[in-house]
Amino acid sequence: MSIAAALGDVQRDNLQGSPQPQRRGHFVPYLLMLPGLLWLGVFFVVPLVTLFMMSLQTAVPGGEIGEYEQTFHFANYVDVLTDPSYYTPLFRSFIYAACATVLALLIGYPLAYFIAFKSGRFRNLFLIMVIAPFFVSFILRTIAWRQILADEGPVVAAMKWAGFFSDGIGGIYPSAIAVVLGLTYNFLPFMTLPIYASLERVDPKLVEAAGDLYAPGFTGFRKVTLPLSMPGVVAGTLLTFIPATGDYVNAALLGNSKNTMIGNRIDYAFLNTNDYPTAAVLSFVLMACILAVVLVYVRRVGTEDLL
Amino acid sequence: MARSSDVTQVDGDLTITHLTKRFGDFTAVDDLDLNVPQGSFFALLGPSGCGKTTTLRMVAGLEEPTAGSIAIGDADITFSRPYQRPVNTVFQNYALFPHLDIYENVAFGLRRRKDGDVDRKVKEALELVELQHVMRRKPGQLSGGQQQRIALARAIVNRPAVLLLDEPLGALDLKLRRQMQLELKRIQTEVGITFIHVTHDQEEAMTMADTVAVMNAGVIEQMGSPIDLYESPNTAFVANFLGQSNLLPATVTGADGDDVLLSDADGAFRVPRARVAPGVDVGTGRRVLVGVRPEKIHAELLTVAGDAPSHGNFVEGTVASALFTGVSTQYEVATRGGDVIGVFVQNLRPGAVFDPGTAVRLSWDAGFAFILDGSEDPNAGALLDDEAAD
Ligand SMILES: Nc1ncnc2c1ncn2[C@@H]1O[C@H](COP(=O)(O)OP(=O)(O)OP(=O)(O)O)[C@@H](O)[C@H]1O
Ligand SMILES: [Mg+2]
Repeated sequence: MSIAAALGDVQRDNLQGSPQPQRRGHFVPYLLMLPGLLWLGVFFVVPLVTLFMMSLQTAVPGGEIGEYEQTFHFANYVDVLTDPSYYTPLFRSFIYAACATVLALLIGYPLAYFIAFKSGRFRNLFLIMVIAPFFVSFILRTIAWRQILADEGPVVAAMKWAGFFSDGIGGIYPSAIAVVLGLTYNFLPFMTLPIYASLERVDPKLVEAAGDLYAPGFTGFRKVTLPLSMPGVVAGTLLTFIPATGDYVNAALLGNSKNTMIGNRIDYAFLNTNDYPTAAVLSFVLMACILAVVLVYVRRVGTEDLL
Repeated sequence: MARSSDVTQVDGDLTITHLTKRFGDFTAVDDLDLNVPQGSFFALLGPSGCGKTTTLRMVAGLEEPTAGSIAIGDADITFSRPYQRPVNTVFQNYALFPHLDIYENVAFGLRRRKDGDVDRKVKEALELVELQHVMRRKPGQLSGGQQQRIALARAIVNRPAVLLLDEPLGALDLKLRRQMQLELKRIQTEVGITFIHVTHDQEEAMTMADTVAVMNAGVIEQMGSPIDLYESPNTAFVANFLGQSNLLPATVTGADGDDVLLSDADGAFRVPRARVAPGVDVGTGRRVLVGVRPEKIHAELLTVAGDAPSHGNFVEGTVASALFTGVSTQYEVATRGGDVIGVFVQNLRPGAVFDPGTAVRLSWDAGFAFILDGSEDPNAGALLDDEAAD
């Protein structure tokens, strides 16, 4: 268990009075951080600042569409926050992303568990299968889901056969369900792989020890394996939830006008109406909301390893 | 779900009968019989890969026997689930739960069994291993020796009838190991639980255990008190694996009262009949191995050829090598008959070390020698011992 364990090692070393590492070369870690810092600076901080500046711009009076000037117009934020037409898409984004995250967890955890403990010599094959979809373009894969969920497609046919839909009425595509399924599918590897990574590090001896100490089978899983895989679960849910909230491709391809997510509104503002300041403001609002949700989540899950 | 009532509450000796475990074609444990008296400290000693862990895992219920049975007292536990057995294990690398603090690690078994007195029992167990003060730390924050003791506390707190320890000290350095050996012995005496201690360190087995079983290639070669095993080994393997032995091929020439008479290229010996390993034929003309421990041999400067001891049991030779180790000097002596005999001589007087090339006479008391089957390999177990000594 990453940080806590690392701290433990440090403390143990100190207990045994081993000498502190020599001062010489103590700047090496900073040197190693440099490429990462540069990358973050160029591709995260600079765009973020640019975007923020843009969110404070206003249209040039009498100018063309898409012509803006910097006026530090903070009222842009007020305009967006008081416009109820954004509330539903924003809310919807979080609901869809949350549903997709829960679904991906329900599918991804057993899958990761199976690969880590039960797949034997086929382990690598299964891992490749998990990431295989990445070899096909995101858009193509999502469009393929239209076919799968279409009224004439296999899913609907099966559900009709099972009596879920009466002939003629009902379908899955386009709908909220289709969007959530698309999101789930597209982000499943991001859920599965971190969970797999943390499960794979669980020492089978610990499970044996749990069995020896009267916690066989599922009790042992609940008391030992599951807690030890929590860092992977937290990482997986974040890697799924955060991008899913901002996603617009799934809603665009698998939903209709009633399934618009906030990503679609940002996309629309940027590319259709060229209303860059509004799009930038929406981006910041979304970012703030995601940050708030994630903070609450990480606090609740209480993994001291992350905080 | 395991409730307290699910665990067989029995006491008594651990009896293993005809226990066999095969992995495919390979027989890891071969028709093993063992009786461990209740409350004893029992050591299972053997070289790497001889089946110690496999035996232990079958007793713990982590491995299913191919044949045979395991019982504690009157209760047959051969096919019980691990959590149903009154047996707990101290795992080789401790297997402490890294996400739980020390207190919760120790409380783990009690909580699963819905014990009503968790707090008192946990604190008692921690007191027993003298580690109450680390109660709220995580396992990763403890030293190796401390983790070892917590693993012990976590198992003992459940008051099993039998506690299994698989090389519990294997990961510790020599000094800590010696200290923990004493500690383990103290705790065993204090709680009175049967300990089955697996090790491949013969010194550890001998210093700690009431009874030692020497295991080799899936079978028990010999079982007994450490003194019995050391002084009267029954096989070449035991003679070499437990300490060192000189095993000299010789031929039986007859009998004289209670003594067996023998001879080899170096001369004539005698060994009391009581010192013949069980089942070894000492009829005249038989080939046998005569064994003598290096420290039982007396070495003296060979001055006059004629003043040999009258009781026989001596050989003459030349010092081939001398290794000064402080307490003693270890010699290898090449005998006239072509054997090489190891001798440990205590350094009683300064400067009394024989140089290589010195002619010496080696002699020993007949009562210290023993006779083994002549068809055995005199080097069985000898190399393994070097390996195990790390
Ligand atoms: N699951 C298994 N499948 C096949 N062979 C096994 C298995 N477990 C153990 N063995 C074999 O059985 C033999 C005995 O193994 P075991 O682990 O009992 O040895 P050990 O006496 O504990 O050795 P060590 O001192 O090295 O721990 C070994 O040769 C090992 O390779
Ligand atoms: Mg072993």
